[in-house]
Amino acid sequence: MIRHPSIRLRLIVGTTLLVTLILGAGCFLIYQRMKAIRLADLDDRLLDQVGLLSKSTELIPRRVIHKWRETTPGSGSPVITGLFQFWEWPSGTITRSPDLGEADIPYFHGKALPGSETRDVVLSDGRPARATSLRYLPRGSGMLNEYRRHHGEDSIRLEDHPIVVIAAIPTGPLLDELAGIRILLAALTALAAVATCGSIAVISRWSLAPIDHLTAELTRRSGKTPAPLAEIPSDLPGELTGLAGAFNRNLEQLEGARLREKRFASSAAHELRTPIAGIQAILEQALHRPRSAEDLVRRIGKVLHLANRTSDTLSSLIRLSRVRNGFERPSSVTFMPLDAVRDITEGVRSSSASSHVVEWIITGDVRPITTDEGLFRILVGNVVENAFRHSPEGGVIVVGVDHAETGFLLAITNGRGNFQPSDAGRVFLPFERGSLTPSDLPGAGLGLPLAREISRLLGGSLELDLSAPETLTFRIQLSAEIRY
Amino acid sequence: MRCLVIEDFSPLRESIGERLSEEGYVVDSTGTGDEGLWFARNHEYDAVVLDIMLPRMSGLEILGKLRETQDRTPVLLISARDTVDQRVEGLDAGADDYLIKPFALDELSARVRALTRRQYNQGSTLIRIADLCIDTSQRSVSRAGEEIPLTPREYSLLNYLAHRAGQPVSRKDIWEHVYEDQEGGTSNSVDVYIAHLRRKLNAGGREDLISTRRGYGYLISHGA
Repeated sequence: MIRHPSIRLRLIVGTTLLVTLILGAGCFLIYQRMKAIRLADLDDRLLDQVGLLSKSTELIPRRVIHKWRETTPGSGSPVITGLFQFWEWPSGTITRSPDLGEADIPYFHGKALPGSETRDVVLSDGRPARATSLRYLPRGSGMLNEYRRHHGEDSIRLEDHPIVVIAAIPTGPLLDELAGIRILLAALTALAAVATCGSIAVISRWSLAPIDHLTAELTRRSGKTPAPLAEIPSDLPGELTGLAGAFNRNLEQLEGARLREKRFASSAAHELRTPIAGIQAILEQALHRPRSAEDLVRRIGKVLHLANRTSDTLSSLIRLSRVRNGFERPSSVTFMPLDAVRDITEGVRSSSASSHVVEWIITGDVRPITTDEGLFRILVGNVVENAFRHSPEGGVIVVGVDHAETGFLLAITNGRGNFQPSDAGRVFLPFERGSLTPSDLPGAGLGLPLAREISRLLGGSLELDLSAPETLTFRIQLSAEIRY
Repeated sequence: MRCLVIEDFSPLRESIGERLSEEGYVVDSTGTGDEGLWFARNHEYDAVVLDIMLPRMSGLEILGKLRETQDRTPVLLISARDTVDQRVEGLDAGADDYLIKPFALDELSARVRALTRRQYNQGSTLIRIADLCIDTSQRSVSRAGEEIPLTPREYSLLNYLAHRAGQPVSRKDIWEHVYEDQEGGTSNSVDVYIAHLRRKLNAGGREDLISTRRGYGYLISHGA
């Protein structure tokens, strides 16, 4: 199997072969027809000639006479010229036409009387000819046998004196003419093949040249970062614009994904390596000079704090990777979501020692749900922690719980603090934080992205609602029952 | 010597600042890019330690803005971005050196010393002026082979003058590059420390290598 077969080559070879075959076959048929017509015409003439010649033969008492010998111009009888030869049986007499001269026509005859047969022959002088042979019986007068009887001779029967006449027409000029036609038709076929081949090569090169331009453009842009999409050449064949457009769109998506992955990798490196650099620097400084015990304890405390933070970041990162790549296998447990939410909210408030005020709005009959409780707690925990961490100190956090037909609904609302509306597009991207978020605020920017991935894994959703001017609300929606 | 540290992660920023201070540098530090840019534009520094991934304004942006104004202050980039492309990007943006996190503080301080040597065309860690020898890697001073103990402030002062050996250095420059507290201090403090330094360096009747430029500042050279 040929790898990467060329469209152009296939078109050229295939079309040229097809055109050559069809044209060649057509020319062949035309030639055969022309030849048949010419030969038929020739044969008709030969048949007429032998017919005439046969009618001019008469058996007289002692011999056969050929009346054509006595035909003269102006006598009213047809003047018979050409090449012809008679064989008389049983006498074996051969009579030649004057035009034949000393040459002989090869002898042949048909099988039955009267019967003619036509063949291509070669005269004794080497000339090619077409010959028709007719075997017939001479005419005889009614007085023939009476005469012979009168003279004491036996009666003779016409059947005992068959004659074969062969008329021939040289076909040299005809054959030359037919050869010329053959050459002409062959040349025509060859020319058509070459023209087909050439025109396809030229047209295909012209039509496909924009693909080469597009390819060169794509190759050139591959070395640039960032790079605009390659422009689709205006002269690209219409049949390919759809493909080129689809390719460009896919390329844009792939490059967008690649940039996001690159950015993710850079951010992950920063969020992991920077705390480690901090740990290393603190420990190096602790050992660089003699330090008091109190100083060392303080430094070690900082290191431990950083180590815990880094550990949390790593755990979140690993969990995010597992959820995204389908390695997390949720379980199905039935539990009361309201109890879990209360538990989590109270836990976050007490561990952060915040001064936030939590208000509860519970609507509907909150029923048990069946889903992975561990993942549910991580989901809710991350959203609640985010509210405590990023909303103004002393502000109000509203926890709204509902259970509708669509399932369990949880809404966490808090003051916007440093949150900018322009941050809305980034809040669920890993390692992205608000543009005005203080850099030393705990957290690596993984809580909300992980929460969203978990919500999707559990068959629900997590969305940000900025419809109210002063607050922002994260809404979690989960189906009442998910079985895995 | 005066250094600026721009790093948003406070534990790391504090550790770097502490190490450089212990080595005699006057250190300004900040955790935000825009504040760091303000510091760099409004003060003279002998070296800047600059993190790339800063909130609101990246280190590369800050570097670009400094280089646009032909600011040649040596910059050491610190970053977790470790691919070749990223390192090349940082160096091509105008950085003089690039250090990948996590790093040893010993290495960071050695690289800062290398940058300051380059800043003052010092090819070696040893600065020799007549029989005076300053080993910047060991922070030791000797004269005619005899070690001279100096306080950190005295060493910083001598180190700064030695890096600009042969050039008159204004009191203002000395003040900005050697003294941490620029507010409330006076040029008299410089004169006092120069006097202390001279006393120690010239002990035993040695040649005074530091000369006074009246109304301007001081100069250190052989045959001052």
